Amino acid sequence: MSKKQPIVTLSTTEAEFVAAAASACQAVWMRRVLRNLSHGQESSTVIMCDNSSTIKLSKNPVMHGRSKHIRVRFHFLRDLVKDGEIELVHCVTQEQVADLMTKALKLEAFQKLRMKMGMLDYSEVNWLKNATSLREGLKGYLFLFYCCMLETIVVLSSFVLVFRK
Amino acid sequence: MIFEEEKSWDWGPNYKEQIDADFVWSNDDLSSDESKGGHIGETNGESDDGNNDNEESPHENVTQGRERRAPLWMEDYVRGDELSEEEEAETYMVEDDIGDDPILFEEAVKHDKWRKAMDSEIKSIEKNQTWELLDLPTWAKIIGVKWIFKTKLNEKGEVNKYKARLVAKGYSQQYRIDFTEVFAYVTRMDTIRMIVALAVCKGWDIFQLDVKSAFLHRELKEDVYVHQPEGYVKKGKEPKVYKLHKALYGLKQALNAWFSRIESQFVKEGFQKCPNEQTLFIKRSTGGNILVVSIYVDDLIYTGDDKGMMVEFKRSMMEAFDMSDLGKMRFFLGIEILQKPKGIFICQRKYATDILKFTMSESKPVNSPVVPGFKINRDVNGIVVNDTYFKQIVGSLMYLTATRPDIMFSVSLISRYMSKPTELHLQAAKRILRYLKGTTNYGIFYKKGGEKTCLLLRILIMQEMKKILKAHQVMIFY
Repeated sequence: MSKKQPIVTLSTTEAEFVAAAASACQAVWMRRVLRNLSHGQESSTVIMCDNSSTIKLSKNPVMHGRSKHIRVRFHFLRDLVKDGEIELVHCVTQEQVADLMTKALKLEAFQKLRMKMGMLDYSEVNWLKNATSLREGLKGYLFLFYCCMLETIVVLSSFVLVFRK
Repeated sequence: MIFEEEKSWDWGPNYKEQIDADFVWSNDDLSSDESKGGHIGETNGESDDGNNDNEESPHENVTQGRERRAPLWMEDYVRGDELSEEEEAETYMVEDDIGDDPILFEEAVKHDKWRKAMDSEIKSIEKNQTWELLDLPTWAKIIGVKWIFKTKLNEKGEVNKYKARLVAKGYSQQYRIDFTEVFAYVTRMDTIRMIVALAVCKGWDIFQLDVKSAFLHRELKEDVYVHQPEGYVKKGKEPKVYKLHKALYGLKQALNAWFSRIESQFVKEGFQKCPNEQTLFIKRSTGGNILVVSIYVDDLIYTGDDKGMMVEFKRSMMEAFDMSDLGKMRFFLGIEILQKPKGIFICQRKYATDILKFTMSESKPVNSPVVPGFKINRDVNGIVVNDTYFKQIVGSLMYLTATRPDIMFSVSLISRYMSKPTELHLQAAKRILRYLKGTTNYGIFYKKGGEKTCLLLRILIMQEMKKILKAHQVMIFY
């Protein structure tokens, strides 16, 4: 699932680019397996990336002077983007879920990302169900309350009308 | 097959006694070798050394001057004979607290439950026409067999059944002589999670089948002779041996043989093998319905959108093999699966508890697996700790990352220092264990109707990507 980077990279952009290429390989494999399972995806697979230079680089060979040394094999990513298999989308660092797996985060950030990833406690699974039903229940109450309010307003206004006449 | 690594093998001191019988062919002359009863060293490779030690030969003076060195390739291994008894027990981690299963046949035979288990194993072997009793041909080698006793637990930790398994001591087989092909596929963890995600997304149920004594199904191509098992030696036919027709557990070719057997079964059933994942089989009906099966050695999980197809599949598999139907997937490879109408929840709480049991059962839980901003280095001058213990911790935590992406970073952080761990690294490992203590029941919840499988895809992808990025930083510093 993860791997030490095979080469030395000189900039974060390059590192992200190499990493994105590696993860694109995984994505391509998964797309193929899922297509075999009749769950193919027409649109391209989204890879969230917090480095906008990398995204630009994946679309066009910009900043040639600083990226011309990147090995050709990693430009495989550019082909994939061109074919519409992969799409790199920017994502601010605070929202990057994968940071959980790469950084020693502060507690709040850690817990937030953990939630975002879909990790729950065993007991919370049952609780979650109740919570949603509770929320639906609350919504129902609110709706009733709202209706009542409307009715009262209507009644009141009609009173007012009658009174005026 | 339920994975409970710590229970399946015991390489404790008793191992030495078991080995005696296996080196029968180290001399051509059978009888003389047995009378010697030579204690042969702990590992295979040292068999020569061990033999010389025990012989009280007059040549001893001659050999004394020579320093005996282990072969060069042995340097990478920890050698058992240099350790004292306690150290040895520690190294091989004899799990007394968890498994009180008997190790020796002599112990087990005293209990009724184990005798019953052994009877049923022998019965199943004979039912499959696994072997026949013959005289040993002069040219043939003989392979020892051994009983393994194991208490199978369910996901709650209650006793499921007592299992006795007859295994062949396959480690004495040699490449090209006793076997040629050994490769067999296993399913990737990604694939299993992908199936779970797909099932959630489409609202399918996942079911599980378990093959009883999977390896007894495949015909063996090679000639293999084994001893008569302890306790089941036929009276009056003591010198005779069994010639195997089917593979036994422990033989090198068993896995490969089993996989090709089940593969051919699937092809016969009209399944298609997924070209991108060899252990995934897909069957499409004319009505456009689909059935997906994934094989993990002798465990099958299957899901699909047509009930009829699944029932039909189960029936035909039950017919072809001796199978037990486990119903809905609940416990698979140590992963607990909860299939709820809202989605599927997977966790490894039993596995996590077991890890804590052998490492730190008494500790205070913490909130995060690493101290924020924690830097770790090689710690050249630090106090070296027992590296086997450290490796065991890392290894078990690695498997835990299957459902615990939150400890992914910290585990891969400490796994970089496996070769020479010091107090510092052990402390980092203990911090993870303390975090684990507070979050034993955590797992991944695949919510229905959310971002669908894309979520999983995205997580996995980013995971890989960012990890590599991290490696980049490391490489710059070094």
